[in-house]
Amino acid sequence: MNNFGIIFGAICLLAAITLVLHSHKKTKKIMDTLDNMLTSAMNGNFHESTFDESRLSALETKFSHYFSSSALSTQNIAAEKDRIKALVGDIAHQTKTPLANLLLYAELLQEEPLSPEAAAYADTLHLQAEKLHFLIDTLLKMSRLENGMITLSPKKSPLSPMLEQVRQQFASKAAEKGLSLSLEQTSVSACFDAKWTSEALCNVVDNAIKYTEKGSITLSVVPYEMFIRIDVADTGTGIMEEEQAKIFSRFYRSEKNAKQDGVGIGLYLAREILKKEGGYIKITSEVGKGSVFSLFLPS
Amino acid sequence: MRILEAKDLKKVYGTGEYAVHALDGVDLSIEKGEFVAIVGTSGSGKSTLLHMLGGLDLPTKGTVIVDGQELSKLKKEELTIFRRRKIGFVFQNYNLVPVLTVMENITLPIRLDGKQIDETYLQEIICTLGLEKKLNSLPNQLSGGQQQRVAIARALAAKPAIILADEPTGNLDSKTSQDVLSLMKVTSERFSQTIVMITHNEEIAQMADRIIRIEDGKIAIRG
Amino acid sequence: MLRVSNKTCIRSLATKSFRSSKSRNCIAILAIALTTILFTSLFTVGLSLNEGFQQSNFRQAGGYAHGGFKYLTQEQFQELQHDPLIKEWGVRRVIGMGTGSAFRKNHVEVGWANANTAHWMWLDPIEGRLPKEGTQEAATDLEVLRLLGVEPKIGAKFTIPIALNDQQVTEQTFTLCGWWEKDPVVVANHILIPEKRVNDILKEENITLPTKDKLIGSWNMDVMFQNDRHIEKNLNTILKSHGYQCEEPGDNYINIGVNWGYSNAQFAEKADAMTIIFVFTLLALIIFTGYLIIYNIFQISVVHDIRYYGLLKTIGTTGKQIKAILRYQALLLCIIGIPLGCIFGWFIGAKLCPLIFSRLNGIMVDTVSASPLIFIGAALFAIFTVLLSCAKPGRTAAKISPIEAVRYMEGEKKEKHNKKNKQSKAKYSNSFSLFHMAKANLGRNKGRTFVTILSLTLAVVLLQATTMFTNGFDMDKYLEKFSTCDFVVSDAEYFQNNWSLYGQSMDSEIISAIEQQGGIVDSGRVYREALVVQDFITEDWYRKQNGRFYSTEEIDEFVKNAPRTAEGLMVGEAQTYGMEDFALDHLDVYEGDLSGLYEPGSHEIAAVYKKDDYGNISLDSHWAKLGDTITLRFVEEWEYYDPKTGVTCTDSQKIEAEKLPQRPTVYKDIDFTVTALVDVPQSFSYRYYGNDEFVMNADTFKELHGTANTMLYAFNTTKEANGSMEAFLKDYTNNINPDDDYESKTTYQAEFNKFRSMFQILGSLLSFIVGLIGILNFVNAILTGILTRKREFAMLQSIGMTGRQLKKMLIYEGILYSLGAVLLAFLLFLAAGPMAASVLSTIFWFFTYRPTFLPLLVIMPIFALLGCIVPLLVYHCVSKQTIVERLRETDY
Repeated sequence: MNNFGIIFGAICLLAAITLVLHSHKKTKKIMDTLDNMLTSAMNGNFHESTFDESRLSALETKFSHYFSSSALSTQNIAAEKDRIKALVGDIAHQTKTPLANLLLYAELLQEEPLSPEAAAYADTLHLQAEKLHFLIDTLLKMSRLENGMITLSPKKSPLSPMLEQVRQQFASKAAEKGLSLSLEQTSVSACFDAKWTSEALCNVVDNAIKYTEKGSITLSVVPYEMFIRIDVADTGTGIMEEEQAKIFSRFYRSEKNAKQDGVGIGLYLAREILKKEGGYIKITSEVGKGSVFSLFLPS
Repeated sequence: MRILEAKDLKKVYGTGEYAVHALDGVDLSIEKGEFVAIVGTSGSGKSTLLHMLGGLDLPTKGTVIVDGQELSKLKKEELTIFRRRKIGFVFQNYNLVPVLTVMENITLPIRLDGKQIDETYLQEIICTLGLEKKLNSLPNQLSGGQQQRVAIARALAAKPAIILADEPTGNLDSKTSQDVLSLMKVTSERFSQTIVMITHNEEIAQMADRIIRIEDGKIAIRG
Repeated sequence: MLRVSNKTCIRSLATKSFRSSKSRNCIAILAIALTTILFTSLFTVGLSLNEGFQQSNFRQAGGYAHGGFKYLTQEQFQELQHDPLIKEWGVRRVIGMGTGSAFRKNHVEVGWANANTAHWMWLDPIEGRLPKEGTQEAATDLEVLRLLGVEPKIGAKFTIPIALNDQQVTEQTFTLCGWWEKDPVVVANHILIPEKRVNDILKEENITLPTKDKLIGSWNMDVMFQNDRHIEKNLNTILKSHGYQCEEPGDNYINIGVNWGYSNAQFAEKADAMTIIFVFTLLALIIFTGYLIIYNIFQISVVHDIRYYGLLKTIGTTGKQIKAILRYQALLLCIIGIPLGCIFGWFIGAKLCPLIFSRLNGIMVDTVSASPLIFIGAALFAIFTVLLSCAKPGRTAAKISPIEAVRYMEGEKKEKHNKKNKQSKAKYSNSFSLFHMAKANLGRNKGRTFVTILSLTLAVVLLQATTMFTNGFDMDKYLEKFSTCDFVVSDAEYFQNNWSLYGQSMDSEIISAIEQQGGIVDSGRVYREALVVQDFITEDWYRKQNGRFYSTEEIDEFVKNAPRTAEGLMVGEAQTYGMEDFALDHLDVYEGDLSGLYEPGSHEIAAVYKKDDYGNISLDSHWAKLGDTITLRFVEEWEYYDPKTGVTCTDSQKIEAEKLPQRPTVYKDIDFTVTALVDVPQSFSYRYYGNDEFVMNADTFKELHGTANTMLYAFNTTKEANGSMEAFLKDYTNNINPDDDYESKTTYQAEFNKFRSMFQILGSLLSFIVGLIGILNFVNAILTGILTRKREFAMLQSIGMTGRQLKKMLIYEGILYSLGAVLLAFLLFLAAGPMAASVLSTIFWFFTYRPTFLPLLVIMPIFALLGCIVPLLVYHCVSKQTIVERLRETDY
């Protein structure tokens, strides 16, 4: 009797242990399966593996639906983006010829003897046409950049040739305004794409010349362990702290600079270029004392 | 998308006459992908704020919501686990585990969570931070800047919702500081990582997309 | 709940941080090993004791077979041996008893035994082998050979008379083929011969099997079962399954025997509350000492690494994981420490065993137990201690709040507090002293300071207690009780408590030899009983006497069946002494007058009351009162009878099966008057308790018993003769007649010293270990005190504190620790000493409290020296780095 009780108890205990272990194992298996499903979904290669009456199979199908619909919506968003970009590209491209003609005829018109009044109109027409040309040009570059139609190929090379070229390009423009444009010599190399970095740098230097009435603009290079900093320092009006973060955004134009010509896209483009190169741009500025734009490039 | 939100945060040390209001009603909200700097002089309450935001300390009043989760509603152990999954820290004194190699330090939060290591992501972080050659070194074999880079890598490794950096360049010389800051800036952009950094240095704060000034436990100017 | 699998990570973290704290590991391993050593040696001694006790039980029982079937026929033997319950069997056939003058004092069994039985009875030849079938060979023990006067040489021939039964004796000659040492505890001697020889002798003497009493020639089968549980049940089951029984006499009756060594064997089972409490106290003490040190090491290491744990917490390590890291490290330490401790502990235990066993009478231990239980037990206890010890540090580490850890300074808050105090003090006294600073430093972590001081104190207290304890053993008190006169001479058996009440007279030659020596001042004999003496007692007294040994049900059964006198009194067993004048002189008279007992033939008698160890007569230890007239019955012949029918019975099988009682047939009843209540000193007594005792005049005693069986001979010598008598007796009992033995004051002195030295050795060993632990703790406290303050010291030095001042401060701290411990121990002793002494003197009757502070005085300079040297050494190691390095170091 006593023995029976003990045996019965032992069997019960054993059964309970087996049951617990079994259910634990089962839960673990389910968890593992779910984990695997999610992992493959994240890697984008999820597909249903079982087709039977089990709940798991049903769940798989549900997952599959969800993943495909979310993939579809991502695709849609991307497609939409593409369309917009294409549109911008198209506009930029298709306006090229009429714009060139517009410029050409405006110049031809300027060469004709005109009344002073008419000559003034022709000048404005030419200026606006130029501005439009610049705008569309920049937009085109931007759209290509964003589109991934052109990729940057940063290479490790010395900085000074590019800097020298930029200096020469803007020397006359600076001289026009009576500004000195100096370049500190350097032998530092950085990892950059010469064409696009030069584009970004040009935009920054152009900006500096634009907002500096008198004094100087200095280009200098500071090397760090992991980065190279190109400073463009001007002695212009400076930018208020609240504005500093905004100037790099698209089409931002300070109110006080409203009378200056420009479209407010140069700094944005510069920022995007540097970002693509694994660097960034920042500004340090004090109102009335000028600004320093620092372009960081990975070394 | 709002990733971090603090509402009417107050922290009082001591009581009665001797009560010190380290934080006195701070409201704050940070969007995903932002690089925010909190600037203030020492004693302004910025460290306290960061501790609150990271769930290292509990506020006397007010709530902190990180990635939709109100921190005060979590139990102690839950909070710890939440922290290792959602919040990365970068400290002034690096706080690396001295007995672990760089690689082990970086992967520690992931392994603590028993998760699979995302090798490609990890490689990207390591490359970005220039740590390829140091992976098997111990922290004390590295320079300060390198140690801080490891700390940043560790903070990034778990793909946290937010990285909190407490004077990340406080122990570094200005040159190294620039590097570390650049890296933070670059990583924040490359990995769309939300970073909140506290510093007393105005110039460093300039790196950020937004600057929040804190004075006497209150927010003074919003950038 | 299924958990994420981060065990490997935790384990690797634990292993890494484990490797980085080497010095802590060394100390911790040492501590764990020490703890394990303590456990292992305790268990080794305990288990050896237990096994030794069992062993000595077996030896008294004559073998270690689980049980056996007795007096079988050949058929029964062959039938039973194949029972599946039996794991092993052995068989023995006795042919008779060795008789003749050589074996007057010995019980020598002659017979055949197979190898199993011989082995189970320890009849394994140390020289030669067991007899071969079909030869004239025999093997026996050296004692038999000595008694026979035969050289132990293979091939020697010897002849012995063998008594086959009451009538038949046969002379047989054997060729010696092997011998063994006789175990003094085993009762019988054996001569083993081949089975064929047994049959030959039976044939020679015309004995057919089975004989009437079945003793001769029958098969006695010893068996071993799977294990030693349910031996009796197994034996019965076997009988039943073959259609036999052991209850009723008859054709299917088979006698069984259970080795009482098994039922009776466990020392642990027999251990009284005192022993159990003692063992548990020891265990608790070991756990406590182990805890103290291991806890301290871990707590210190946690505090040391607190920033590290805080950092882990910041990253997202949970409290549980941190605890697991610590626990894992502790277990790693155990893996190294415990085996070390087990090995050393066993050797220490093995060394201690003989020391302790020599104090325990009746237990002969020659082997030290190496049972795996010792090591398993010790390991489990050690692991338990370790886990217990790292629980609290684990909690500390787990609880640490991450921001605090990031800037953790030990006792930060308190320090601020102290600073305030210091400032205010400075204002008034305007004095700054290194000593105050040291004092304040100790106050930073009051808990740890306390634990360190406590563990040092414990060592001092233990040493002090041991010294005081052994110092307090009072030899005069001890001798007063045990030896009444200078010498007592008797049989060796008498002194070994290993004899029957109705023995032979002692060797009289030694008495005459002693008397020839001269120098005897006074002497006398005490006679032992030759007849059984009964007294008549009330049922109440009977119940009271037997209540100590039997259960109420058993006594009820006895009382029901017991014969009674006409007055309704029951029959009890009495022990009587016949004492000559010298012995009577030494009796301690409690009440009445002994003078009548000096008269030969007097029927005056003294009732023997018992005294406890403190000299108080216990009034209920005897029923006879002063002035009573009592009757004693001297029984000469007995018979068995059936209590149910009252009929005399002679059938030996029935007598054995039903355990029939005996009754006297020839006896005389004598009346006595009780004239004195006395106490018989231990050295004159039967050394056997349980019966009512009476003392009478020696001549009266001899007359009534019909013989003069001398139990002992006691005498005093002149002071000058004392030494030569001692030497003479020693020589005589060792060389001339080893069966004789003696006790003298000197014997007791030696015994006392042995007893005291056991405690001294044990006590000093214990205080040494605890002292070592205390010192380790102390070193640890100083070490971490310096390590955790490395940066602070660098800061102090950077603002102008000289290394000399710093060292001075550290020495102050060390001295505060060590002398604090001595002082605490001193105070403890002043307070608790007298109380402990009174407790001790109730446990040890020969204890006298003699306060001594010698150990404290000896320890004080040692500790003071330690207090100076340890901090200096540690600081020396630390100060090799420059200030800047140190300032930077804790900064990661």
